[in-house]
Amino acid sequence: MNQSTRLTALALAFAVVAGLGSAHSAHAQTTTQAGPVVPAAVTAASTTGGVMNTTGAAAVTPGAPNTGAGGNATLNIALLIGSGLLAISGAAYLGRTYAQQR
Amino acid sequence: MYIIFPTKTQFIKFLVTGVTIAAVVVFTHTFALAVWSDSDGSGIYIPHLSAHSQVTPVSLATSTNKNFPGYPSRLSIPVIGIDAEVRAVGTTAAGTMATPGNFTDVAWYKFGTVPGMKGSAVIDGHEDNGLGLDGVFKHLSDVKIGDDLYVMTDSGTKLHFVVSDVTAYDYLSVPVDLIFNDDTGYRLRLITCSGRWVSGGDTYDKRLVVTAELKQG
Repeated sequence: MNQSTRLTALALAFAVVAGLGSAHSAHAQTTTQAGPVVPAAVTAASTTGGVMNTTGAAAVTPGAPNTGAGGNATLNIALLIGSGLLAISGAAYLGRTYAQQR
Repeated sequence: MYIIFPTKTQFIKFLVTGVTIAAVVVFTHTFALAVWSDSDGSGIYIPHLSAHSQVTPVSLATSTNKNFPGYPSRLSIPVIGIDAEVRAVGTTAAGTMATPGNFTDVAWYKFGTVPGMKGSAVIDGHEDNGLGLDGVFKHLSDVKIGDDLYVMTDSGTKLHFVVSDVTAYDYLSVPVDLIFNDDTGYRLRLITCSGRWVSGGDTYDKRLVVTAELKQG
């Protein structure tokens, strides 16, 4: 493995680790609300209206859905602008550097 | 460092390459999650059953009923300009009703009542997305008592509902038993988020519920 290949491999490994770390802390997703506690055991006799499965056991009433994510909009937009600028700047620098080497 | 990077220039190039790739990853990931919902819940997860069990929702069991109108395919609310595709969803791992995989469709709770049958059919939709852009139910609060809603089914039936109630509940005390299990009539309930953002909770502090009655005949 020559020097160039080794450097590229190290750069990719660094990027993967950095990307995974950023993805873990990204606030873009619509996280689901915990909702009411769902009982683990449901008896066949405890029917809940029309919500049943074919085995006759009552299905558990779900919690209310979480259908909003706009509160994270500011952070998401900041992340997009910041990472976008970094990506463009880095690509421009690398493009110029490799062009000069030729 | 000099074992790996004999020159300062090579070290800088390595660093810039890594930062650039990481920036692209962050940008792509953030954008994708901001415009597509990740709580699809289109699976069949039910908290008290194995995640791999093939549970047939009650709606399928009613398909032999002569009054079965068909499964919902589109929701139309002319007064606020909604004409959305209906997707069937279940529950999330947290036990809440799942939401559509995007911000333009609506989702019907497939383990509950079929719209047009006796009971309370439930449909939810996003209020907004992670970039603050309008979701399909952004203007659901503009709906008033007496407004018309229509559900088109996959068998070509057009169900007409009339709004009978519009209520916003605190997100910690939503009457889920009423919303999902009310079997005193032929109802359709639409749910979305409203109110103020709860920072740290990643949610709005209200759930807007629009109740509509089936107009028969």
